Amino acid sequence: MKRYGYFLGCVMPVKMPWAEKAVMLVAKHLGLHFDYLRGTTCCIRPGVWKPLDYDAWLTLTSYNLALAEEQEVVLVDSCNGCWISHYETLQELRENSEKREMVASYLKGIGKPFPEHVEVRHFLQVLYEDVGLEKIKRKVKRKLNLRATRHIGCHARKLGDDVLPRYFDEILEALGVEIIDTPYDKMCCGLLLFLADPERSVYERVERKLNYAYEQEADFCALICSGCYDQFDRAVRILRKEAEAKGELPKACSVPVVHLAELMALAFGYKPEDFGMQHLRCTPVDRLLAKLQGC
Amino acid sequence: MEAVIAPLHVEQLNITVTDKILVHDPSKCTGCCQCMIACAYKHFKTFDLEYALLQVHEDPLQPGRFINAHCSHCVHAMCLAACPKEAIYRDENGIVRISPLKCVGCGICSYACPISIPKKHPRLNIYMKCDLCDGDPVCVKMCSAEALKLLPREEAFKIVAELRGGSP
Amino acid sequence: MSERASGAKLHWLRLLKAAERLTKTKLSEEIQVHPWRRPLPSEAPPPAKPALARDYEVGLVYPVTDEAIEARAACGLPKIPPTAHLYRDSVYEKRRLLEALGVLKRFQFNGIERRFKY
Ligand code: SF4
Repeated sequence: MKRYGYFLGCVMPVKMPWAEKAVMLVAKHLGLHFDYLRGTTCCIRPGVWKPLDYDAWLTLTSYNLALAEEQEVVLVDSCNGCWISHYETLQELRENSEKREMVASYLKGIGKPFPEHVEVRHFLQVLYEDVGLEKIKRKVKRKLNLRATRHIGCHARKLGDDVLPRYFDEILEALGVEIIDTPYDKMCCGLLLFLADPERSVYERVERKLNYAYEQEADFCALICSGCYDQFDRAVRILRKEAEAKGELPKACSVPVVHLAELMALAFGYKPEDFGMQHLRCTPVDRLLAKLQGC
Repeated sequence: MEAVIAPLHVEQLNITVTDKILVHDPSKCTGCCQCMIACAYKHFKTFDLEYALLQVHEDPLQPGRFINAHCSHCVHAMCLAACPKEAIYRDENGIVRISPLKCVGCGICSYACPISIPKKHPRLNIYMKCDLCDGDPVCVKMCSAEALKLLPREEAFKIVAELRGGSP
Repeated sequence: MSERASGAKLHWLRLLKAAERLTKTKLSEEIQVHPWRRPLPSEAPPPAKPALARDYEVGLVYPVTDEAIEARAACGLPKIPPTAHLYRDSVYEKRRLLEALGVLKRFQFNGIERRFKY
């Protein structure tokens, strides 16, 4: 059986501990051989580092791959940014012998092995391909019966709309979530755009997405990527701060942003307290939980 | 970096053009603007979108859909034909470039181009445009959604014709 | 055409040739050739600087704050995540990589003072 090493990334441990706990709970519940990948640094963020310094991006990403090689695990990412970094680096290392040698020499300099046999998987791939939708369906103790919009994220489209985005939708549906299609489903969260044009990234990306969700009376917005959550969290805090000055709550601040793993944990019969769902949230989930209890 | 494009000779006009050009598929674009940011950094070492040599705009008729304006290094390059100072030229790979030394910033290239690709430098009185990153465009590498692609001209024309709704 | 005029034309053509030679470089190189387009001292774009500094300092984008520690405990997780926050060796290794790659020098980042020079 495969041993998985979960790559935490930067955002999850400090901004979404509930998701971290939920991922661990869900993986254990599904009977996976699942543990943390230890000692990881930043993935390293592709949007910033790839243009800044391509070779540095390759090398620093390979560092994390080398950790997986050392710990002899399959590297699992639930953040799309981390996944694309690892996935593309691995591809580049396999195809480009020059870069291979460069990375190998840098890694040798710090006494790390070259990531020769590493496999990288997205958490959605682990759930859908390795575990299987049938098994997930069997494990569902109670259907959630909630309505939600969803945000899959740009990088997850790398393999085409038929792979990760479809997995995401099908898993959500298996949990009993009714998906509301919106015209903004494809639209980016604006994480990288925040560095270049913060206003556009907050008002024309996140606010519009969440406003639409509010108008459609969605109970929450589901996502899988920690990078996107970072942007949602930041934008919602900015919007709320602004609204407080004006004295009115914007619509965007009343739709909670929820991680897929949390929903799975809830559907598998865990209680929200089991993974601390109410702590450190940008938008409170009380209404969502009340509705869950009601049904 | 290794160039991924090759020059292509056009007999009738006796010019050399690039064999591959950028193609953008709006149905895949997510509007993340990574291409613009990477472009601005590659050429001007800044994340300021004013400096980006290609533009991503939201479709005014269809919210949530994005269109991209980028240089095609045309066979019949209007900018090149219009430049009064011969500042625009085709290099040996067929990439249409603006020489910043010769450019006087008149802006005629921008008017001549059907989609106004040459744009004014935010600080200097010169115009600037896409140089296809000397053959290995960074925007294509950045696009995770695979909306931006570098394709051979013929294939590109077919795709664009399809996107426009016409027969290929 | 008078002799003077044709001389001027010749001169102009020579100048044009010279300019052509000079400008048939890559845009990325041109930026460095012309004095008014010299690259700024640091190649790190200002909005990305804070995160780049933390890359060096903690190895990740966000430090573990007291608030995060509290929330982690409430979620039933170890207080410090098993990333480079806990395994400090990773940070030192990453710093060595950054140094070796020449990134610090390019960004004019002073590792001892933990700040960008420009
Ligand atoms: S990088 Fe790709 S998806 Fe993002 S804005 Fe550019 S073309 Fe669109």
